[in-house]
Amino acid sequence: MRPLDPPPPRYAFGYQQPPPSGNAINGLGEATPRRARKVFHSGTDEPLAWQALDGFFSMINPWPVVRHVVVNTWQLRHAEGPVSRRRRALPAPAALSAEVKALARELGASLSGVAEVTEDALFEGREPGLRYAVCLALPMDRAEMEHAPQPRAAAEVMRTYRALGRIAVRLARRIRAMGYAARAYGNPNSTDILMIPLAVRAGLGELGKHGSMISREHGSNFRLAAVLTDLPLQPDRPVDIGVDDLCAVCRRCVEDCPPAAILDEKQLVRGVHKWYVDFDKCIPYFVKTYGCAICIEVCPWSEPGRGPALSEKLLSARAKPTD
Amino acid sequence: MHTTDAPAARGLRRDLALARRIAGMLYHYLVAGGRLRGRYRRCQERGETFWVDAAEQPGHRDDTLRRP
Repeated sequence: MRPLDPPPPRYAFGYQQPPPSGNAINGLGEATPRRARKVFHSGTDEPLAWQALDGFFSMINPWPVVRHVVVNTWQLRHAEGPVSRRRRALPAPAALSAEVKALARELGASLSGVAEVTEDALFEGREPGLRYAVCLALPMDRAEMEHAPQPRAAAEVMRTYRALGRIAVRLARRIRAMGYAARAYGNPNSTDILMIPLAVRAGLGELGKHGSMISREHGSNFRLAAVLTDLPLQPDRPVDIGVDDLCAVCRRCVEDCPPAAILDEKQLVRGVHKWYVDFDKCIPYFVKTYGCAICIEVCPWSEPGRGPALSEKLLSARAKPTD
Repeated sequence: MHTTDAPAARGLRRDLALARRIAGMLYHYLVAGGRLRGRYRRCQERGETFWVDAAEQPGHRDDTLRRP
């Protein structure tokens, strides 16, 4: 698809005193691994480097978006809760992981996977104290998302987060009933964890050039949530569906990004070479359009039903011996 | 355990605290936010810049409705 009349990257808002570069805070160009720091988007009242723009963004969001935010905030009051004193007898970790993932799907998640919570998935200063993450994914309505970067797509994004929040809360409650701690993270502004590194390690997909995840099933047209728990689970393994092979040669998101924020090469970020989006260019446009989402919708992987065949083609091309 | 993603308070007390907070955020979004959106719209029409870090902007308040 092509984005519908994307507005130009000119802004009727700005900073009198510009904040520090978001790329610098994110650790662009840094060779030493360290935890991520929050720049923009926070679920708490902790001051952010880009606080003023974050507040402005919250205020200009249209009501069809905000109403989902309100409902999700309310339902996430059950993110934590009392743990049953009686611990259920558990099967072996592999069988338990399969059971929990099946439960997540039964509750409505489209994809689920388990990852260990490691340093790269935690924000600075945060210690959730739970060892495993059950990662959850849910696709967005493609017909609504084809309206990106218009407010209709933003409303669909938040509707999906709201649906995910409900699933995460229910899954956490079921785990607590087994006698183990569980906390739902159905809020994309989580101040504890980074959803993408966890979901990549849980085998839900790979990181794409546009800085979002790509899955075989939904391309980039999906959203993430997680439940952290101390259930003794067995982590899944990351998958290779050929994302890097395509992103290395495909330029769709790069060409269709109005503020030219998507970079053609992987970057060194906090000690890791990975796809990275220029934060300082992306966020103002994201704010102007209430969440943009052009890059995830123009991605060839997001074309409904295309992922499995595309993955197969890329992986078999890689397997072919070159003369 | 150090986390802020979920409130520590439990049961009814927690629900009341959150309901009060959401009501405050909604009021802020509708009243102060309405004024802000009006000023921003006028800036857009006139080709002027709306300064997000100007001291009087309500975005600086703690009870801004944060997008989850």
